[in-house]
Formats: sequence, C-alpha cells, structure tokens
Amino acid sequence: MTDDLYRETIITEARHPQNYGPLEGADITQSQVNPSCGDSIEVYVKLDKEGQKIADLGWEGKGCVVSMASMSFLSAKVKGMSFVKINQLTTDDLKQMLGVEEITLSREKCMMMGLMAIQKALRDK
Amino acid sequence: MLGSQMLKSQFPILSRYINDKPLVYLDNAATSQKPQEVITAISNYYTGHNANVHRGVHRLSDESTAVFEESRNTIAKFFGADSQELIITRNATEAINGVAYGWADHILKEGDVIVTSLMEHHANFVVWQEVCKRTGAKLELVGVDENGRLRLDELRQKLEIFPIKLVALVHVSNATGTVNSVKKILQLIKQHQKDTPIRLLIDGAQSAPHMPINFHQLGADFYAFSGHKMLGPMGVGGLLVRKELLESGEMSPWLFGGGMIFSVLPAQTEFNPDLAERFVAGTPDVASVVGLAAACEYLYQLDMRKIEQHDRELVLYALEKLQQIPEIKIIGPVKSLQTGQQLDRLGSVAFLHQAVHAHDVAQILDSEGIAVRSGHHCTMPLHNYFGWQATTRVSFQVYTSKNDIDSLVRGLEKIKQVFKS
Repeated sequence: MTDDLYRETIITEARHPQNYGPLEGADITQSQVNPSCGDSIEVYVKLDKEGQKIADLGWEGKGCVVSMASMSFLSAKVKGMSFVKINQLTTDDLKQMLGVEEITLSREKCMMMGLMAIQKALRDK
Repeated sequence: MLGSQMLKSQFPILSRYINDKPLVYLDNAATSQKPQEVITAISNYYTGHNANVHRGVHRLSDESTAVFEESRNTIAKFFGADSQELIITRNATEAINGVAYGWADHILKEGDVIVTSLMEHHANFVVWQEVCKRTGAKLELVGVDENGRLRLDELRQKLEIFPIKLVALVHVSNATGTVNSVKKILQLIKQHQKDTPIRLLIDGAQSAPHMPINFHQLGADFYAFSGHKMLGPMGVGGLLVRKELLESGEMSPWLFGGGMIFSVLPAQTEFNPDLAERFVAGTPDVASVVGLAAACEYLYQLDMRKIEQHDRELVLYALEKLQQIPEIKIIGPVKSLQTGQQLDRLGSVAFLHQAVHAHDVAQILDSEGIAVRSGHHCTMPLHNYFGWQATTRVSFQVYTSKNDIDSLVRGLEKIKQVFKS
C-alpha cells in the first residue's frame, strides 16, 4: 500500500499543487481540520451564475502528501461540476483519482479532508 | 541494558511480521505490548475463577474476591502505597476525572485557582477547563522554556499571586519526554502554602512505566496512572490518593451504586467505611485488575531501577543517532541542565522532519515494519505554542533494543529515497 501511496506522481502533485492559493472574489470560504493530526485545508469557491455549479476554486492547506495531493487532484476535477455531482463523490472516486487501490482507515481521513471541506462549503452556502 | 532479545520472546505479538518485515514496535507511549504472563493471568482468571466479587458466599465468588484483593495489594505495593489508597479506574484519564468529580467539585469555590501547564496531555487539561466551568474556579497555565522544560519560575510567581487550591502537572511528558521534578514542585508549594492546603496531582501515565514510583516518598496528594502503558491490559488503571484525604472525606466517591455502600435507606445512603470498597461502584473489571497485577509483578522482577537505566540508555542512543540526520530536529530536552547531571528526559524521543510531514514519515516507516506515532500526541496546547503542526514520536519499553533504533534510522533513510530530499 505504501509504495502505491508514495508514487512519484502523488508526491509531485503534493509538491506542486494545482489551484493553490486564495481566490479573489470567492463566494464561499470554508475550512476543514483533521482533529487527529491538526492538518488543515481552506477552500475558496466561486459559484456559476445559476448558483448550481462550482465556477472556480482555490485552496490552501497544511498537511501530509495524501491530503495535499488528494485536494489538488480534486480541485481540478470539481471545476464546472454541479453540486449534485460533487455531493455524490465517494471514497472510491478519490482513491481512483489518486490511483491507489486501498488505503488504511487513518489515511482515508487525510484523503477525504479536501472533499469534506468542499461539501461543507456547498452545504453552508 | 536489559536483555531485550530474550524479553522480546516473552511478548507474543513482537514475533509478528508487518509488510513482510519483523515488527519494530516503537509506539509504547501510546500503549505497551503485553507479556505472556499477563495474557495467561487474564485467561486463567476467566478459565478458573470467574464470579462476582464481594457478593456471594459460594466458592468461586470467594476465590474471585481473594484474587481481586490480592491483585489490588500487588498493584498498591508496586507503587509504594497502601492498598486502601488505590482506587481502580479505567485509565489515567478516568483517574484525573475522578479527582475532578470526587474532590474539585465540592472543594473548589468561585475565585479559587487551579494551576496546570502548557506541556500537559489533554487528559490533565480539558478536565480542569471543565471543572472551572462547573465551579467558577480559574485556570492558570505554567509555560515551558525553549527546550520544553517546565518554567518553575512561573510556577513560583503564580503561587505568590493566586489563591491556588490545586496544582496538576505531568510527571513525564508524553510529547517531549521531559521529566518534571516533583521534589522541586513540592518545595515551591510548601514554601507558599498558607492556611488552606494546596493539593498536588501528578499525571503519572508516562512515569509509571519508566521509573520506580514510591507514592509515599513522592509526596503528591494524587497520582494517576494507566495500566496498559506498563505492560498491563487496556481498560484498567488507577488513582492513588493520600490516605488522609480519603479518611477525612476530602476525597469522596464520584460513582455511586452497588458495592460502595454501607446502608441504603429510602431517605439516605451511608457509604462503605472500608476505603478499598467505597470507590468501587458496580462490578469491577476483575480480570484486568488481575492482569495489571501480573504486569506489576513482571516489572518488579525486572527491577524498575534497571528499567529506568535501560530507558535512559535508549533515549541517549536515539538522540545521538537522530541528531546525525540533518533533516531531523529533536523536540524537548537534548542536553542535561548542568554538566554531570542526568538528562531530564525519559520514555520517548519526538522529532520534526524538515521536508516531510509526520504522517508520511510514519507511513513509510510502517512499510518497513516500524510502528511510530505521528500527530500532536494529545498535546495541542504545546504543539500550538511551538508552532509544530505534527511531530513523529518513537517511544520505548523494556523489550526495546538499540537494534530497534538502528532499524528506525535505516527506515528514515528510505524516506530520503522516496521523497528524494
């Protein structure tokens, strides 16, 4: 499992994350913390005109390779995606995004942190 | 050093392989592994003697009561306490909560002050925040210096200024390994104590496994410990309370029901005058108490003085090896306060990796069969104060050897390969 998680693509993604940084004119900002390790993510979401899709997204965070790479891949994927579809995203979708077949319970929390932040942002909008 | 290789063979789980590598267990501050003696003691209790204690006249109940009392005696003796001074709890956390409910709630009044510190485990921190909410008492925090040592000068200042009723401090930090001097703390308290007594609670979760503890010599009013960190089973620990506080009723029961009573009438209940029974409400976890007694016996046979020496050598060896790795920064004391003095650090060595997050460090070490802890180790106030997001901690037990630390160092080299840093 470890070799799977620490492939070069994942490490590179975490080191050079996509959509990193605050987004000017964001409609929603939301933060998510993993209380078991103190890792944190802040997401900035801009909605489309109809308010049904994510038009643009930026994020900042501190965390392990898994949480950072997962959030980075996710930030690219959810742009233009409808809220309904975003709310349907699951652990399996994120595993597929990261290219890992299995993940331990403790690391699943790291992987899911970004998605939790986005879903919370849409819920609280 | 203890004969760790021989000792390892007495702990069945240590023969496991993780990711096809022999397990190197360095997460002992979270919980220790259990020797066969402890596992057998628990199994023997259920196989041969199980019945409720202090309840029946039949043979099994009698045997169970005898083995329970004997186990309590063994545990109390291990800590240099009278059996009556031992209240069995689930763990150190519950023991500290016991002081909150059984002592603080009826002793503290609005305006009284509780002192604790920045280096505490949440168990000796959140409990007091909650007590303050209930009683109107105020919480004062003693800080730490740049090496993670308790600021005794700050403790002195607080003792001079505030109407303090309780000082609650950790004995050995689970994050930095810092050993607090109970002797110095007590001296300060005695110097400043006026008419009302200042009680001292010591959180011994990380000292009980690594150094000899004699409750009477220690001089604290309360001492809390967890059985599972000292080779015993999970779900059992204890609170030692100075007898005077029990006899005077200053420390009173906080759990009520069967077993702890003397007489129950419709209008009122009288508690059991037998101190050993007054704090046992409901059926206790006899098997775990038996298991903990077996662990105490095992540690006693090894000799706690030798165990402390063994631990000190491991701490120094780990510090020496880890300090040679440029990416690693040790947290907590690395040099003794004065030349020639022992380093005031026991049980563990935690560090920051400059390039790699603690979770990633721990995960890659796991792929080499090495179990370590990563995160804030339930010491968020300390981590926030220093700005550490997460640290990696290696912690020791009697079966830990220098070879295990060598394996750790090799594991850390793999991190370099994976991250090419």
